[in-house]
Amino acid sequence: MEKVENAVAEERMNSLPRKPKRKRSKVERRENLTAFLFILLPVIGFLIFTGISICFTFVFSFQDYYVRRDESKFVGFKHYISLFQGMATPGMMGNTFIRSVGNTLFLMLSLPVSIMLGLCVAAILRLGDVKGSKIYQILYYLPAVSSAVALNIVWRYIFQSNGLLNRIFGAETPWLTDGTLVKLAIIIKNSLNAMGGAMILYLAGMLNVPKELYEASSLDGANKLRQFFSITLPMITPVTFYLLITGLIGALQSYADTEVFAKGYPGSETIVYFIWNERTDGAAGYGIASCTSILLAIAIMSVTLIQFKFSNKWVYEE
Amino acid sequence: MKKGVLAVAVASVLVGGCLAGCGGDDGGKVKIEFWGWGDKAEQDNYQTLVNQFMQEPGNEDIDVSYSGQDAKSYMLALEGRASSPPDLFMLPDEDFYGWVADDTLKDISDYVSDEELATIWPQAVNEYYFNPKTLRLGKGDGAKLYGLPKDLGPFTLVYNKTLLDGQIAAKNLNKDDVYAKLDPQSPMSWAEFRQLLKDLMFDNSGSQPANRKYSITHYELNAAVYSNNANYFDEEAAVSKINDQAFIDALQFIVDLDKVDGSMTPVNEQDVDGFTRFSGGSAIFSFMGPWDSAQFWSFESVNFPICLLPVPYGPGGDGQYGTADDGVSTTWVGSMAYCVGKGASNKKTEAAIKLAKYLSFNEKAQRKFYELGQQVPNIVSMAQNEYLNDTEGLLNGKDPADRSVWVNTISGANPKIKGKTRPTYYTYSSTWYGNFTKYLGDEGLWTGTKTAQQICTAYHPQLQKVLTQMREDDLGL
Amino acid sequence: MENEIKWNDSGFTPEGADGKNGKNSDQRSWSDIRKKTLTVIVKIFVYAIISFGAFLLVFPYVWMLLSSFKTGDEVALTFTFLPDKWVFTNYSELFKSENFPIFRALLNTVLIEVSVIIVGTFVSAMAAFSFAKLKLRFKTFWLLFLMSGMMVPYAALMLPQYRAFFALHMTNTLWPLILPGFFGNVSMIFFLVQYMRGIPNAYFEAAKIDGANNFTCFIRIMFPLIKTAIAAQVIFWFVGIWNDYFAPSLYLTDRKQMTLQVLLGLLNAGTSAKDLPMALAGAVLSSIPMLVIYISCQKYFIESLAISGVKG
Repeated sequence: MEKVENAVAEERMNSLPRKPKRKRSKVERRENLTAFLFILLPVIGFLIFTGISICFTFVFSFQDYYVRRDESKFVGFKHYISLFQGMATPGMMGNTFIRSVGNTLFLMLSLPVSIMLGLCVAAILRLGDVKGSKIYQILYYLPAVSSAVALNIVWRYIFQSNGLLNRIFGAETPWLTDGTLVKLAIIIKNSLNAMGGAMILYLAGMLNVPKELYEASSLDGANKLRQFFSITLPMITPVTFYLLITGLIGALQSYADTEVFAKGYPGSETIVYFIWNERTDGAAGYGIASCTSILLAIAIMSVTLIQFKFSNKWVYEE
Repeated sequence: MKKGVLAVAVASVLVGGCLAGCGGDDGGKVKIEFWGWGDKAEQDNYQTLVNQFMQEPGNEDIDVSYSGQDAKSYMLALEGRASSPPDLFMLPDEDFYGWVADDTLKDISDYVSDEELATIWPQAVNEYYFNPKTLRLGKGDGAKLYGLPKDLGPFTLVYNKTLLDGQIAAKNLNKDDVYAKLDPQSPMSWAEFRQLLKDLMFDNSGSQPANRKYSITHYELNAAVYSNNANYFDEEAAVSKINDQAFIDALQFIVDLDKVDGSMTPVNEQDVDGFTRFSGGSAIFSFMGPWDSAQFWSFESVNFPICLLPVPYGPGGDGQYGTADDGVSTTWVGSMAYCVGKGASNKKTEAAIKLAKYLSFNEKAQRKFYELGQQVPNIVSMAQNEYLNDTEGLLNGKDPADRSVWVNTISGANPKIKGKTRPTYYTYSSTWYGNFTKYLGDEGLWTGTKTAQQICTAYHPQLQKVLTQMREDDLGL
Repeated sequence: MENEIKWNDSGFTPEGADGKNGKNSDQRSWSDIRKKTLTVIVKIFVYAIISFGAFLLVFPYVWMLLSSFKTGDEVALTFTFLPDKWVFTNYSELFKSENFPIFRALLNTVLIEVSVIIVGTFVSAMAAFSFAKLKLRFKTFWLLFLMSGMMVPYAALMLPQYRAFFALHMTNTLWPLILPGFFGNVSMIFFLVQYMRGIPNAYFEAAKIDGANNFTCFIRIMFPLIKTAIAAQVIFWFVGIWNDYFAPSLYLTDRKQMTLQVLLGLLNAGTSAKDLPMALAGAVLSSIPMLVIYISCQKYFIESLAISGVKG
């Protein structure tokens, strides 16, 4: 770690901007304006296509909303309260909600697994001097390019009670009809399918590591493995950070696996599945779905904010 | 190079725009948009019929654009444009109440004459009457017609004749006795059916799940409930009835097939859907509706004959046979309607209804539908003769045999066999049904951890709350 | 830290230890041989592991490929691995049907891909440059502001969005799928920001002294430096659009307007066993263009050292 910092520290000293003065100069204001113009299009796009919809959702969360009539009735915090009622009583909304939260969190296990696997493969392909590295890269990325729907059909055939897995091992594991096993099946499937993506980004990230760092440490006699831990790993923390954040956002919104792969089997329902299900449950249902969406968004935002806050502790930045 | 890239982008956007906005005016024709769903074969079939319709004399000035989606996207897109739906669209019976009560459908009573409706199943038409003042479903004083039926689809028992005969021989059963019970005109009682399933049981010891065989794949909840003289709620869908003994008995009956008798596929092996397992020859009995016929035909290697059978009837509320409230063999009958959006202009409504009539009760269209294995004809006379006896030879001995079971379930001509719409038809939204069945699985009814009694008693207040909410908040009754 | 850099006997062979550096002492060559054996064992181990991993990942795909040559019955009912009877018509059938305009669907998909990715990538990269290297005020706020769009589930956004596009007469056209892409892709912005942060500021300082403005800095200096990252993200986005099913299936109802996945989805919409192998055949075919794109972008990950050599 120190080595890396030393190597870049000098450069940083030269290039780091001076602490901003109290009064911003004309040049700075101009740069701020340019900088804002650079992000203007995404901001406008966000406002048009997403921002308005989010506002609607926020308003609906305080309403009974009759979708087809496009009429609504203000009900205050009713939906927010009913979401947390009867958490201990099976069949009550609160219970279904809290279960779906639990399931979602459990399913997120595939995130660290896929990141680790992706990193390992990228490291082996980059540092291990593997012959046919190109071929491996293609094979590992194959699941990511195939249609998720078709793959889910095949994955179901693998996990089915009369499916391949059980037949190979002569077992009778009820992968798809047990609340815990169905989650495990989803985690296994997702870890494998997502590692290709992580691998690519890590491979891309590893190219960003200045070559001089390796040269310097080679002169010091460090071997490749050591270089990986002392140089590569710290330098690609931005990729890890990106994978963690987007992975968390994606995982907290997982839905398709429940719907397509697990066919909504009890134990596989996630928060977003709960939202889709409630959405059609009359006027109150739309309100419930909206308020769950808002709460979910707030939760994701908080987790993201915390990650951003701590990012300067471990994410490398020039 | 940058410029080249940009040029490509601009050009592709322009082309995209042209492709997107194609289609000019078509000189005086009434253009109508018709939306439906189904698998590819069914959609293709609709396209063919729509094309045929446009060539019929008198329809020269109608230009129909038909499009179909998968069921989920369809309902979501339809909901998104509920204020201005397509000129003609299909609506499942389960969603009809919500749509009509929300005042989104057009009253088409004046566009259809009683004489026209007299040719088709009254049960089918009556489903789509609604009284906008009392907000009640069904034909009656002040009720108006809001849709023309696409079909009526009874979901009944079916059995694999080859497998059955094999098992009769293997278990040394009397063939005549067994077949006497499998009378398409006269249903069995639950007790008789349970005994039959037990008699026919396969020996699965030592075999892999893939090779196991069972007497029956699964059992339809609605068929058990309705046939035991029970229901989820009262006639108004206002009071929950799931803690009635008759309802509890119906649930327990299904559980016992697996947990007590072992004649039904256990829940752990029900991850493949019942009809697929049946088609694969892994059970003697299963359930099927008319729309499953096409799927059955599409299996080229499946070569066993299949026959229909009315669902068995339960003992009724008091659990005793020979009393007044004995159950009657009753299964659920699914349906869909062709509807017109409320804001449709007179001209467009006329054209749309013309098409709806064509699809709903034109002979050619109905003939095509049954030939393709999609439905029982809506036209009464056609169903009772041409379809039943295959007088046109279109079915050509195709399975299932004993189609009279389906026709009887619809017509009610045989007092021992009845049909009834799904419970979700009677409620504003159908989410509650999914939640209820999920609850049954969640709480371990099928695995036998809890009894039907415990589960129904526990869920009763919850269902009551939902029913009240739908009536008071959603419908405003 | 110091001791970590010291010579260590175990692990991978260091670059210098290729056997020539020994001073002919027996002790030394024995240890060389030992080291070589160790390296070989490690190598075998490494190959075994990544090959096994590759096998696990590729297996479902291979099964899908094999199943596309089966009959409908076999796919739906028997779950065999190798086809009992090889059927090749599943592929030809896809191109036969008149009302199954697969080439039109391909064209539609490519139109969306090309227009969205070219415009969107440029917009995204520019925004990322601003976030990573320019003195933008409330930087984190703006980034999270944009990212908040990813945080609200589509279930909640769908209805208002659908209504808006319907009101604009854009349903059943490609616009709802193209237009939002023109304004960039937040996920791509976020990744590029992370990537650009690792690039030394010195490059831009120097250019600015020479009088280059920020836009020139971006085009001339940053853009060539982030080729790798862009290639990776373009693949992601490309695959994402290519396989996108849900939103397109809501908006596109006319078969002539459908994208490839929506059209192929029709084969999967029902329960008919006949269509199932065709659906899988379609999935196999539709994955091929993406593999081609991936392989052509792959060079950026491999010929890498040359690129990173620019720095310095």
